[in-house]
Order: sequence, then structure tokens, then C-alpha cells
Amino acid sequence: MQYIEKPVHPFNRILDHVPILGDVIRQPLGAIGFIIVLAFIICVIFAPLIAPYDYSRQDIPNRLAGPSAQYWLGTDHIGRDIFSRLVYGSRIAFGTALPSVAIALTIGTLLGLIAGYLGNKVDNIIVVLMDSLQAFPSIMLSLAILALLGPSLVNVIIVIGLTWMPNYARVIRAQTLSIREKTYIESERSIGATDGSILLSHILPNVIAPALLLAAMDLPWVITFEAGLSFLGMGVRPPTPSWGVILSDGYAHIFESQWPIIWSGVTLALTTLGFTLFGEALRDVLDPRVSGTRGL
Amino acid sequence: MKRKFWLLISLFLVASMIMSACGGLASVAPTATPAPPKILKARLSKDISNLDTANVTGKEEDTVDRAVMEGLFRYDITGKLVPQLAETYKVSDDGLTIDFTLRKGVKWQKGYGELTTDDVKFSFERFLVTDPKPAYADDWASLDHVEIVDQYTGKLIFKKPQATLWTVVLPMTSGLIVSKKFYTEAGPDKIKTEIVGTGPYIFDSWTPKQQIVLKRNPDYWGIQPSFDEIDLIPMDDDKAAEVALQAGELDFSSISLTSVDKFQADNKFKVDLIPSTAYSWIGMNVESPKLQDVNVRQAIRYSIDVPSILKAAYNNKAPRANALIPEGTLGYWKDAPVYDRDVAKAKDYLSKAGVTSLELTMTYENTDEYSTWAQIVQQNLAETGIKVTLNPLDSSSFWAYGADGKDKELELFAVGYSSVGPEPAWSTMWFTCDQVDLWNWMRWCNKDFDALHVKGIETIDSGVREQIYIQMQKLWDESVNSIMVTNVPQVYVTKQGFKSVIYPGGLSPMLREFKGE
Amino acid sequence: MLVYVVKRFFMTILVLLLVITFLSLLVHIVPGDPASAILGPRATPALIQKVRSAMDLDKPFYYQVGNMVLNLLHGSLGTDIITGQPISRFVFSVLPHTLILAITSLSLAVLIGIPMGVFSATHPDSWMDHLMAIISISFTTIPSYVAGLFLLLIFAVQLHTLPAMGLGKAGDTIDYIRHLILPSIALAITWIGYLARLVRTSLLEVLNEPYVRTSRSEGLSEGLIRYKYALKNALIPTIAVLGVGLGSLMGGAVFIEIIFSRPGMGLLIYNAIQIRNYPMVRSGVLIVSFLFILTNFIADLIYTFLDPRIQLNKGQS
Repeated sequence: MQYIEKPVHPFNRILDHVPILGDVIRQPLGAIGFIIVLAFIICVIFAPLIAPYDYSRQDIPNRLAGPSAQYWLGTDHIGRDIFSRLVYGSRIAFGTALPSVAIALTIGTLLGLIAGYLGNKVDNIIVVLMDSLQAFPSIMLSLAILALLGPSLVNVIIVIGLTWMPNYARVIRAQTLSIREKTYIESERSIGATDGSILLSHILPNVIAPALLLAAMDLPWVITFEAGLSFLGMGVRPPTPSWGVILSDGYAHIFESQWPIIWSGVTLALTTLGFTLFGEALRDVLDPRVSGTRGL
Repeated sequence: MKRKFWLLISLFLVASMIMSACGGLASVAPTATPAPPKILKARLSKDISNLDTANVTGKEEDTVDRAVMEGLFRYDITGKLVPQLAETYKVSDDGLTIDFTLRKGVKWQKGYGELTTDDVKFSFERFLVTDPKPAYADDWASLDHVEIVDQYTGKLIFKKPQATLWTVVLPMTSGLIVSKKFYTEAGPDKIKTEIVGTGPYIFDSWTPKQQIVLKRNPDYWGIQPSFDEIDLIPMDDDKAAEVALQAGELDFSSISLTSVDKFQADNKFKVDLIPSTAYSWIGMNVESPKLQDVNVRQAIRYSIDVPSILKAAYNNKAPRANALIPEGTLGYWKDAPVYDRDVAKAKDYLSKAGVTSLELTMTYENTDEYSTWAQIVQQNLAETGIKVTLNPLDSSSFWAYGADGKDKELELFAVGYSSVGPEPAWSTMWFTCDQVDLWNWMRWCNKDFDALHVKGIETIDSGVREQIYIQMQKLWDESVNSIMVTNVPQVYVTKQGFKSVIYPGGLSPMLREFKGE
Repeated sequence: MLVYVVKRFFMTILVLLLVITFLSLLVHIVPGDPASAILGPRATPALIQKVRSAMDLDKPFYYQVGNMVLNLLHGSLGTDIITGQPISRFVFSVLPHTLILAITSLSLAVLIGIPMGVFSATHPDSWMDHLMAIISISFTTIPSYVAGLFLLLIFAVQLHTLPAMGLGKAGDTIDYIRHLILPSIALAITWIGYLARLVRTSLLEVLNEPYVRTSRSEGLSEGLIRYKYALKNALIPTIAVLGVGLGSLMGGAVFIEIIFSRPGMGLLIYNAIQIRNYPMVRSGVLIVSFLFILTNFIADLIYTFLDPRIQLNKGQS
């Protein structure tokens, strides 16, 4: 017996081989997101190859020039190529976002597991601590800490990690609470498994998925948050080209040239858009009911 | 339920509208009078924090104080020293006594009675209090006491001559006369944010972070001022002020040098570029192990491209400075050497010092201006083979180097000081040996320099003084403790139809002489 | 009900205490000196010492916490060292402007976002739905400071059509509202997009529920079903979010207030941080945190008031 194969577009056939990603790309918005994220990652990896100039190379006689064949997007106030700075800036965005989300995820998961599993007093204490951390307006908390610690990339990462951490603790705690009472956990306990091994081998694998998805959805927020801090002069040190720094340099020269603001603003908006589209498509595919609603 | 929802939404909206209305109305009395009052809207670059003349925190307070209060003398619109509240005066031959007669019948604002010699005595002797010493105590350091002859005549008696008296004390903020009655009644906190003077404008109200309102003083003894009201709006950010000027929301503001072209091209505005007494430089901590060797410092001096800094940070609108004392101030050193960038020479000096690799930290306040400086310096020094790490700090962390000897940690730094008036001693005073650990961040200590500084203050003859200050700058130059960069001019934009006047030194506007149509 | 309110009240106090403690600790962990920044370059050591002790910087942190709590019990936020004025004078001078900004932005978000969401949900998979999806997602992802700078660039710098800086002429309500337009739009954009998405999702969910299908089969008109039954249920999660929204908009206002030089809590705290005016920072953050917790609480109450099915203790998790 023979099957009559329906004609399938070759691209779709490739997609069949990459299970989750394929489903994401099949959605039009997911595809747009994927392209933007891909472009971003290519910039991160191949920045020196893509950027025509070094990000700190100065050409002062040509400062604040508009787009031209020599400088595709124009130059900033010290005559540096904006395009090159934006390309290298992706590394800062990524290099801040990833570790800070990782910190938030790790500490948050740990606290969430402990709170959810042990319950009672420990749970109450952790919940109140998380509540008070969240009662701070996150931008002001970060500004206050950074003003005291001094601006630097590492401090920004720590601060973002700390302010984002309670969200993860909450999600993990709620999940742990619901799993803790399941019968199979009870039976593990009755055969003498230690708390540690139950947490690590039974609870963690079951609760981590929503937290990971949350982390993926958080990346764009963290990127804009870092850029915002840099915009206020609280982020990375010059001449490191954070997008927020390019934006604030542009603002300082708004009457001379508007290109730096336009390009860095558009880059920031596009990147977050791409990550969000991609993240939402991913969520739709995996469909664990988590909503990425923070950072607003 | 839907109705409940929309009810909530409309409540929201109504509440917000009511609050808008209140927010708008709360601050100031309505202004609907038959003839519209003449109002000047000017920007202050910071909100006021201490208006007390002996402790003012900055030029903003200075601006407000001098619109409301008056001294025995003042600078007129041409920058000449003229008597103000003093009707007549006479300086003794040794310069140690000043006899004065006050103008009669001058009334304090807000009903604080008539101006008398008692107020003068109170105003100046306040600076001699020791617990705690007021911030501007140095201004009256040589004052012994004020003698009251009668209600209108008195004598200022000095312990020793003080040249700064006539340039920056008597005609400026420290020379303003305050009402003894008001000061005693108000107490130490109230005088920080309220003032009573004899001047053309009355300090009417202060809404923190929003505005300061000055009103015409109808009982002013002199010529009535031009405006019924002056609204001073604190705006920290130059760009914000520039946008507000363009939108017609301000009549007068200082702006940044980089926006000069934009405003000059617009005939709605008049732009004044005023040379100022501010001076900014790149300093080197001569005590730092890495910078001890004068050859290393020479290498740095020859590496830095000052014209590039002037182009990128100021759009070429700021003049290059080659020595400490600015042009226009007594003691300006016209023939100071100019050091052009010469990488080969710099490398020679570096090898002469026997240094093969050098890593330095450059500390600066994280404004657009200094951040531009620092990034250019970083590139310049990289070509000589010196690696520079940048250390931008917000203003508090940066200025905290001026206490407790924290400046020991500095290596390279960019900084600017300003003196409120054209007085050379106000520039040299920060670089004496006893200022090490405070404001002498180069930590450069030279006994001859110190001796000349003291001599300069006590010398009255301006020809001799000039030579003293030039000599001091030579010592400074030989020591290679810094690279002078610029005397940043102040830029003021005035809307068509208004006329502005700036005090000598360029740092504060002379509000009392502003005119409008 | 009463038990719940009392419990929440004590939780709020506990959280606020922790906030104060944390802020005081922060000051003590890292040495930074406010004095020279506050007094200017002419500060003498004696004056600096005076400022330090006035700020309790020379005392242990629990002393500061105790002092602050004591002040609060007397209904005071303490005194500003720099100006000698009560801190409350600063707070109450700027707080209304931040509240107005946040409330206006939230109202804009409701007025624009909800109709967008309803339209999308009632025309699922139409091209307009896709267009709305792109618009609303783009809106949610634009950082408020980028939106603010772009609005500033277009309407204030290029076109000169709208005033941007400050609050406008004192006493002139029309002028005040004109000055509110750009900042509130900049702040609202994220929330417009977010509400549109939220309403679309929850409305679609409700429209697919059995009871809606039943009423459809009973021949009730589509409009009646959509707007009378479905929408009201779909809007309940929105209400819960609005409370969070108001709180977070107040915090997020800091960028907007800086860009538009608009007096408000964000700018007040930001400036105080810059000059290390610790008592001011502490009081400012405390007030904003308090309002944040309060709006959340009120949103919870409204939530239960709108939907009696929800058990009150649910809010505990």
C-alpha cells in the first residue's frame, strides 16, 4: 500500500526536524521574533567582524555626522561610528541580561524551593522578605544601590539579579507547594529519602520549566532595564557602548544631531520586540500557563 | 458589574482632573488683574538649598540673594564697583579702617523696620562666629569688628589688609546686609529658605522643586525694577532648559556650549557668550607612585590633545587655558607656554622615566562634558602606551574626594573649579600646602607658592600683585602637576524683548537689572 | 473580611519596617559622604561633622530605624538637613504631580487599551486582529524612556506643537494639562499595549466558555452576549492588574520625570540620591512603597467587590 504524499514545502520539512523551534517559526509573529533574535545573537558572536570600526575609534573632525557611506548610521559626539557601537552594544545587553537573569533564577529557585517545601515559619519569613523587596519601586531600589556601590557592569548585574529574584521565588514556591502534597512524594519520604534528594530529584525537575520560560520572557525586560540605568549614568563605564549610554550621549547633543537617539532608540525597541515575540510564541508552543507580565 | 467598572474608571478620571486643577492652582495666587503683570521667567540650574549669605551652597542662592538683598557696595551693569547702601565712605591710608554713612530711610521689606548700622555690624560679625565656623568665614577673616558711631554711621575695623575685600567680598554675597531683626526672629533653619532684604524684589514664595517667586518691592528706595514678578524655575538639565526656551516657557536661561549654534541661528533669541572665571583642568596626583616622576607627567602633558577636547566637548566654543588664572583677571599670564600634542616627545619622556608599562585610573564627574574629556584622554594616552581606566562618579562621590584626605587615592582626574568673581587669590587659594587632603588634589606642595599666595593677599598695589601671581603660575607650570584645559564660558540665552545683565565673572545673572518690554 | 483586612494591615506595616531597615542598612554598609556634596566646596570640617550627626550617620543603623519609626508615629517624616525644612513639605509639594501623572496614564491605558482588546477578541484572526497584535506587542516592548525621548524629539524639538518641560505656568489649569500630554502618553504606552493583550486573551477565554455557548444556542443576540456577559467577566483580571499598574507607574515615572523635567517623587528621590541626602531618599522611597502596597491592597478589595466568587484568603498566596 502506498501513501500519496502531499506536496510539502521544503522549508516546512526542515522545520519538522527541529521540534519546538519549528513550531515557533510557523507562527508569523514567532518568525519575526526569531529573525530579530537571530540577528541579535549573530551581532553578539561576530561583533568584530560585522562592525566596520572599533567601537572606541574617534574621528573628532567628523563628529555628529549624519548617515553616509563612510559611517552608515552617522557618528556620535566624539566622532565614533554609531553602527559599530550599536553592534558591540549587543554584547553588553546580552552580557548583562543573561547573568542577571541567571542570578535571579538561581537564588529565586533556591528560596522558592525552601519556602514551598519547608513551609511554616521559614515560608512566612521568605514570603515577607520577598514582599518587601517587591514593595520597592525596582528602578529606585537599583538607583539607590548603584549610587552607593558605584556604577559598574558587575554591580548592575547584581542589582538586576536581586530586584528580579522575588518573581522566580514566587513561581517556584507556588509550584513546589502544589507538588509537595502529591502522593508520590509522600511515598518517597516513607521509603526514607532525604529532603535534599526529594527536592533535587523529584520536585526541582517538575517546577523548573515555568521558571525557565519566565526567564526567557524576562530577557527583554532586563535588557531595557540595563539600558535605562545606563541612560541615567548608573550603568557601565565609558567607552563601553551600552545602548543606554548611546541614547544618553545622544540626548546631550539633541540639538546638534538627532541620529544617535533615533538609532539607539529603534535598536532597543526592536530588540525587545523581537525577544518578546519569540518568547510569546515559545510560550504558546509549550503552553504552561505562565504569563510574563513584569517589568512594567 | 460593567457599570461598576465604568464608574470606577470615571472616578479615576474625575479624580485626576480635580487633582490637575488643584495642582495647577495650589502653587500661586491668580494673576487676573486689569493690566497683565510683567513677568520674567528665568531658569535656575538647581533648586535653592541655603540662602544664608554666610553659607550659600552655590551660584543659584547667590542669584536669589543679590536680587533681594543689598550691600554697602555693588557692581553696576558695567562691572564697576559703586556704593549702594553706603551714601559716603572713606578708606583710611593704611587700609585698615573704612568709615561709612548709610543711606537714610531705607526700609526693610515685610515690615522689619529701618536699616541701621546695627544691621551692618550684625551682618559682618556673623562671619566671625566659630561654632560652627560659617562656610564663607574666610571672606571676613581679617575683620576685627564693626564699630557703631550712630544710627547711620559706622566703621569697619580690620586686623590686616585684605585685597580680596574690594573684589569679591564687599560687592558680593558675603557683603550683603541682612536684617538683624529678621535673622534673630527667624532662627537658624528658617533663614536657609527665607530672606528679607532692602532690594528691588521681595522674596515672595518658594515651592520646593517647582519655583521661587520674587515680587516687585513697591517701597524700594531706588529706581523701581522692571518686572512685577520674577519666576525662577529650577531645572537641573541643560537640555530640558533648552527645549523649554524653544517652547517659549522660559525668557532667560543658561545653556550648554554645544547648543550655541542652534540658538544663534534663531532670531527669537539673543545669545551671550561670557568669558568666566571658571577653570577646568586635568590634574595629576604628584604623590602617587606612578606619577611621582616628573618625566611621566611630561609624557602625559605631551600626549593630551587639548584642541580635540575643546572641539568634542564644547564644539570649539570654549577658549583654551594655558595657566591657572583666566584672562580678564588680574595676574593673567599672557605668555604662558602652550603644550601641543607630540606623541614622539611623550614616548621619549616615558622612556627617560624608565617606564615600560603604565596603567592609570582617571576619575571624573559623570557629566557629558567630562565624560567626553576622559574618553579622548584615554585614546590619546593609549597611543603613547599608557592604559587608562575610566572611573566616572556621580557628583557626590566625586566631590567626596575633597574630605578626609580621600584624594590620596586619585591618579589622573578631570575637574573644574569656579571662583565667583575675578580675583586671582580665589584661584590660587586651593593649591597651597594646607589644602592637601582637601581641595589640592594634585597634592602638590610648594613653600614658595604658599608664601607668594599670602603675599598676594596682603599686597594692595595691583602691579606688584600681577607679578606675584605670574610668578606663582610659573612655579605651577614647572612642576607639571596638571594640564590646564579651558575657562568654560557661560552661555545665556535671552528671549527677544528682554534684556539681561550678568555679574562680572559670568556665573550669576544680575536679576535686579533685567529689563522687559 | 475584617480579619483579612487586619492581617493585610499588619503585613503592610511589617513590610514597611523592613523597607526602612533595608534603606538604613544600605547607607551603613557602604560608606559615602553626603556632607561635601551638600555643603559645597567651602565646607569646613566642623560643618561636615554637623551634617553627619544630623543625619545620624555616626550612629548605628538601628538607631536610625528607631528614630524614623518614632518620627512616623508623630506623623512626621523628619527634617531635611540641607534646607532645615520638614521633609513632608518636599514630598507633598511634588507627590500630587506624580499621582496625577500615574492616574492619567492609567486612564489613557484603560480608554485606549480595553477597546483595542475587545475589538481584537471579537474579530479573532482577522487582519485587524493581527495588526492590533503587532501594535500592542510593540507598545508593550517600548521602554518608557525611549517613548519619552521620541515624543520629545517629534513634538517639542521638531514641531514645537506641545510643551514638554515642567508643569506649566502656575495657576493655569489648561497649561498644566497641556504639559501633561507628552509625559502621560510616554508613560502609558506600555500599559496600553499590555491591557489590550490582557483583555483580548481573557475575553477570548470567556467567549469559549460553556455558558456563553449555551446562551448563544438559546438565541440571545451576539452583542448582548459579548458586552453584557462576556466582557464583564473578562474585565475582572484587568482590575486586579490596574492596582499593580498604578503602583508600578509611580515607580516607573522616574524616567519620565527626568526626561520632561517634571517635579515628582521620582525626580525628588533621584536628585536626593545624587547628593546623598539619605533622610530624603528614605522618606521618598518609603512613601512610594507605601502607596505601592496600598494600591495593591485596594485593587484586591475592588477585585473581591466585583467578583464575590473569589475567596478573600486567595490573595495570600
